[in-house]
Amino acid sequence: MNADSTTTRLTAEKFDELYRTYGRRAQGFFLRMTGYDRPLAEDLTQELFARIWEHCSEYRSADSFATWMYAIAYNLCKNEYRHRIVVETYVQEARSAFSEAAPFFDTLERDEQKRLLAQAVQNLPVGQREVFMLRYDEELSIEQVAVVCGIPVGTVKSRLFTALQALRKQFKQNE
Amino acid sequence: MKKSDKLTCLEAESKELLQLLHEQTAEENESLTLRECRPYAQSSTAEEVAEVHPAPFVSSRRRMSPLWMAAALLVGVVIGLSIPRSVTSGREGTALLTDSATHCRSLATGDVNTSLLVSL
Repeated sequence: MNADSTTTRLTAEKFDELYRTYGRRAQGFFLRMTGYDRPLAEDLTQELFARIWEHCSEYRSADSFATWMYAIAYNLCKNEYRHRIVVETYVQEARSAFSEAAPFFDTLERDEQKRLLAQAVQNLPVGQREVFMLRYDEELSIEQVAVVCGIPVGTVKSRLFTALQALRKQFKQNE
Repeated sequence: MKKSDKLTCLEAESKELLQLLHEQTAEENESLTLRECRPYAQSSTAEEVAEVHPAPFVSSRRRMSPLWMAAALLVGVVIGLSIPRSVTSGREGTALLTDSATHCRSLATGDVNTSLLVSL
């Protein structure tokens, strides 16, 4: 896509429109990336859109907005990880919680299945979890995920494959 | 088999699992409440602040030249010097001033005359 031909200025009205369209998605992304810390997810969403406005001169078009937004969101998460060793503790707790609940999985209702699936995704190693969420939760293309994370397309594919395999394995064990 | 083919196959096999994940994500996103976010309403840079709220104090300080400041200082000094002269104009005034000077000198040297202090 030729960015120059579609370049538009990010006005306050346009910003509001983008916030309405992507705000929840971004907040949901932060929520899952931070291990379901709601206040933190809300703060990060505010921070994300404040940065978007701050760097509004870098805005090119609504078409490429998602990739740009997730790239900033991804960096915010990375910064957050650096400051939070607590995340590791959370992952450990979630892991043990999942293993305790696992034997009852086949008898659980769909809502409970969803909850456990979300928990299982949280248990994935950070690198795999990031690409997995961007690809399947946020529905970005493999190429977009590669741009957002700054890694080669091949790495994205292999991480997705490993993550998906791990999740399937976890579920199969409980069938 | 190619890496992408393997992934596509696995994705196809995991259709149900991914469907469940989509549902979960959609529900989670739906339940979220968005705070109001209007960063454009906050002026972040100094120029923007100046545009929105012109600061008269800052700008008047900038306009005040050193010449005016020197003149104001001079006027202050002149007024300050003129006050003791008016006090010492009469005889009583001179005596009072002399007494005060004596007190100050005794206090400074430590030679405090208690009777004087009591009289004060």
